[in-house]
Amino acid sequence: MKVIVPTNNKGGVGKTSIATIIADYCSRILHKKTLVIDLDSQCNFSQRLLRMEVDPSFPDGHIPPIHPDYEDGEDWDGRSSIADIFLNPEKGIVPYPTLNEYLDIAPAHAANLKAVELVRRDDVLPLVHNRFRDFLALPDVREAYDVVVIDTAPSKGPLTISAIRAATDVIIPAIMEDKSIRGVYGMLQLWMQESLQREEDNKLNLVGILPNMFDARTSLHNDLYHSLLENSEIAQYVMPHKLARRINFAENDCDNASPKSIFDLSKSNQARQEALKVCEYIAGSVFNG
Amino acid sequence: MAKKRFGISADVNQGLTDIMQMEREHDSVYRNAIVPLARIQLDSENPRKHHITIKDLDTGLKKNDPLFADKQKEYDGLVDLSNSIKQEGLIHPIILYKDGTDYRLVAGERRYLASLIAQKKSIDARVFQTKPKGFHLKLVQWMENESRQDLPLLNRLENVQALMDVYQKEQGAEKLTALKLSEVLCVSRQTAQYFVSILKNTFVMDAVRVGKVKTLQLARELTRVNSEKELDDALNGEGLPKKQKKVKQIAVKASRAGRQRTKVALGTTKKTAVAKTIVQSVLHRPEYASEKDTFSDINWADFDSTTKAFANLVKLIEKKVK
Repeated sequence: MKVIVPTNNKGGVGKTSIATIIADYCSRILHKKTLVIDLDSQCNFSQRLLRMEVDPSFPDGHIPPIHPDYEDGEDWDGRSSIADIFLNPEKGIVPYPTLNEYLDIAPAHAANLKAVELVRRDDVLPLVHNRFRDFLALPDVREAYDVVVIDTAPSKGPLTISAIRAATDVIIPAIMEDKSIRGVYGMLQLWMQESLQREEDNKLNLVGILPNMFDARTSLHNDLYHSLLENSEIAQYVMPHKLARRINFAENDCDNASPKSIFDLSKSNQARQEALKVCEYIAGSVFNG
Repeated sequence: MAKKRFGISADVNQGLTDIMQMEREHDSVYRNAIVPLARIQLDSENPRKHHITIKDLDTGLKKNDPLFADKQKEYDGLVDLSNSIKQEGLIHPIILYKDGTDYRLVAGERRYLASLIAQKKSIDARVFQTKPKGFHLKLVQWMENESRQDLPLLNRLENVQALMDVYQKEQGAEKLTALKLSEVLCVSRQTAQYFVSILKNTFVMDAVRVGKVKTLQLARELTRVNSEKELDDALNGEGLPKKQKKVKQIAVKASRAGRQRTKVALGTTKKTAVAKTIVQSVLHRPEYASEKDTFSDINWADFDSTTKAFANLVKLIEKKVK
């Protein structure tokens, strides 16, 4: 089972959009049984696939809806989120189905994920960092899914670290701008620290740095992109395909977008073509080594 | 208007370079890990042993234990270390290898025991990717133990002996010379030679074992002893056996140093009268009287003339003697 994590501690670089595209590609195009996990308390990924509800006790946050398989009288409240593996491990997780038969989601829970991030330092290793990895190592999970795609928050907190701890493959989306590239540096540090702890047969693959929202009309984006390529140490990790700043990607992020997937757009659509090239490259690195 | 130019800031660019270089150069013999203490077992083959056991830590030391005094001393030292670990954390990770689902301790027993006393649940460790074998395992233990300033001399020597034994076993006929040992242990050749000499001397080793000799310097000096009496005399301040035998050996060696002589050097002198005396003394002998005329015109005040005359005398005598 592959665990793919697009991550950058700089916000707004397109982690959720890229996680969406990768999950769509794996499920719709490759027909791999895919689980998406939303570890971001903003719940953007969850809102795209489920009708998340406003949390009455936490107005800025959202909670998962009642599970479609819940029946009255069962000994749980009918709502399941990924936060439960940290806060209520005995409860277990019940992934939600989506309109895509190959795609399930373990949604976020805004308040509970924020509570997980506040765990005490002495407890963070057993309760957070390793708990998520251990969950994904469960035979039930590994048998049910071929691919897991995790959307992370823009931070280097316990949840992001737990995602990287569980990952088999890491992608670093970046806008070719100063702050975002500094975020790349931060993520590479996390990648290296994690690599130092991995056993030989469980290496953490760095798929690459994915230039996102690229505006070829600007000197800034072009110059910074070429600056990365001029650094011989990092150049091999800059992906050869970029995702341009296109309205189609933003439209695809809407809850009620139609069509639902970028891959349902016409074959001549440039956004679709770019997404396809990027995903083919990522799939080559992830599934073929 | 000039075209805009942008670039990645120098510090970020350098940071990116450094990280990728570090990752590429990472020695994959070890990996870093945080390991639960409950899953660590001690390595009984490591010469660095404590009297105190994990059971002692659990149940407390018993006054009727014959090793109570030693264990109490060890415990006090471990408590100091555990307080340091509580305050500052663990500076040096311990070294483990994976053994099934558990881990075995290669080096760091004190830090492990102190972490237990500090009631830690886990510990920073470097874990061998594969189980280290034989010589490599002993070498890691040696390097780890050498960093301990309080490591007793006996433990140090036993570590070296263990290394030499394993090396001999693995390499077969090839002996671990002092030179090779110095390379392996990263010590000077002299220190390596001291180790070899001390380990060979059973009297000194016995004294180290019973605590009569506690420093490497003293042990080295005592390698001259050839009996228990000589050892005791030396320790009682009666001096070490003299180096006479050794000096004689050196003198004998010195006399035979260099190539074998095939000629007699007749020496030199600044006084031509010495050469004149020798020549005239020889010419007074009956068998050389007939040669007097050959030496009648010698200018004995001139060095060249005198040297030539003396050389002619030597040739003359060589002809006549058998």
